[in-house]
Amino acid sequence: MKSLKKGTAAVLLVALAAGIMLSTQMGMPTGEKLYVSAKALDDMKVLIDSEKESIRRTELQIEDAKKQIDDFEALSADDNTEELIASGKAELNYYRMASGRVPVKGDGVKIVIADSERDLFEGENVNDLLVHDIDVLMILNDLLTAGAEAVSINGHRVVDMSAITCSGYTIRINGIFTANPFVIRAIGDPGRLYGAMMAPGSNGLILKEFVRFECTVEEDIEIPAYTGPLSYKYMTITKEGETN
Amino acid sequence: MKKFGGLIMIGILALIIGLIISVQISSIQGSDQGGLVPSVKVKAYEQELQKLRAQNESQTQQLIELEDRLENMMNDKAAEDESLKQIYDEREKYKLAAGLVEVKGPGIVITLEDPEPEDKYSETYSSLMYNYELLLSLVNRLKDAGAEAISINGERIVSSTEISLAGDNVNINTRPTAPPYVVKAIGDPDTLEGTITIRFGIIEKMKSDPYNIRVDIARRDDVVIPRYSGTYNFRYAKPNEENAEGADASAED
Repeated sequence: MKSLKKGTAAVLLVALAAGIMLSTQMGMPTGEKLYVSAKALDDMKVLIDSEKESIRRTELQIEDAKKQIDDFEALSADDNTEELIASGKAELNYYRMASGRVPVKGDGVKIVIADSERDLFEGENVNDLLVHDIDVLMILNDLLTAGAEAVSINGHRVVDMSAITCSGYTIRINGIFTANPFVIRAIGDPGRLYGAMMAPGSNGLILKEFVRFECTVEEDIEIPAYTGPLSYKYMTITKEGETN
Repeated sequence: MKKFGGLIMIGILALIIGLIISVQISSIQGSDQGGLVPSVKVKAYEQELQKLRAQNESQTQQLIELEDRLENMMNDKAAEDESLKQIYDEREKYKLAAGLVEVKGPGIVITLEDPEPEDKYSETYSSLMYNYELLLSLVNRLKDAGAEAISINGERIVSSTEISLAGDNVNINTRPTAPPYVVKAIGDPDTLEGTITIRFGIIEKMKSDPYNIRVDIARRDDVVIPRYSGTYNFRYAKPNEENAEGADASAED
């Protein structure tokens, strides 16, 4: 009985000492602490993710470039000019397609956005019932997020530098004036596109509360090519490698 | 019962030690909620970021070398064959139009930063990210002002570019981004700056309540804008050129 108590006391002492030692040990590497906001930490993590994604893409591009070189070497080794021309044309067509210079056809959705025709509620601002640039920009942005491959607004192809402005009755897209309403056609996965427009809480549904907004799934939508110039006044290609 | 007294004591002690250890560990690894964070942890993040950036840099260099090689090979071949040269020249033009080459030219660089935090707690969300429609508007205005190329934080704006709020992140070209946002645009610097800084314009809106975003606009003679790093996929859209001149027609001759 007595010896058991003695034993317990000894164990207690040793364990306590071990606990203190351990805790001081663990405390060492933390050193001084910094005040860092949650946002700053988050941002840093985002940057790390972003960098990883970028590396992954560059890897894909490197593989692609290696493959291109191999293909090109194989073709030029047997002096097969015809094959070279054929592969050159295939590439050319891909770039034409990517730059929106080819008319396209496929399944997708058609969206109509127009100023509301209902009367104003008491105290309601008339601006609420009109379509603004930002409404159309948000819808376009949602379509692109849902993977739209080609988009036209009032029959004009949306390309990289297409601006959408809307004032009163006129809408300007690619610098050309058209009239209200907005008719947007988008080619892509019809289910995804429709879902992005009509899901609860989507910008489409919010818009629908104020203005006319319709979204329908359609087959074989035709979207014209962009016909703007291929020349640029200000930008030039940097000779690769001399970047700052 | 008495026989187990010691064991129970040991059990309780072990429990306490375990608790101490776990608290210690969690204070090193956890605390991603911000607040008082071990500087070691912050340094580790910074180091990882630096390492990744260096890796990215060297990979980009490798890619550029490979592409130079391909370009030289193509030029050599094109010198021998006239029709091949034509195709390659065309190819360059459309590649440029698709945003797949790095470009430079005069323009403006706009830096957008979240408002200066008033106290520790106001800084928990980003005014810029939660109001990403401001970025959409800004980009739209720059396009309207005749910009020829635009990028946001190194992501080239192309026809398929989206700016979307995914969880707490703003994704651009499906790549997560974080403030500060650096928007670059190539074009006539006067027109670009004038269009966005007009009274009641987009910059004024960003600077005022409730956004209070810090904006800096600088004109540059040589703004460099990277190429689009993603790929264009066409799974639903098919060329529709039977009646138009184009690929099929030119493939004949």
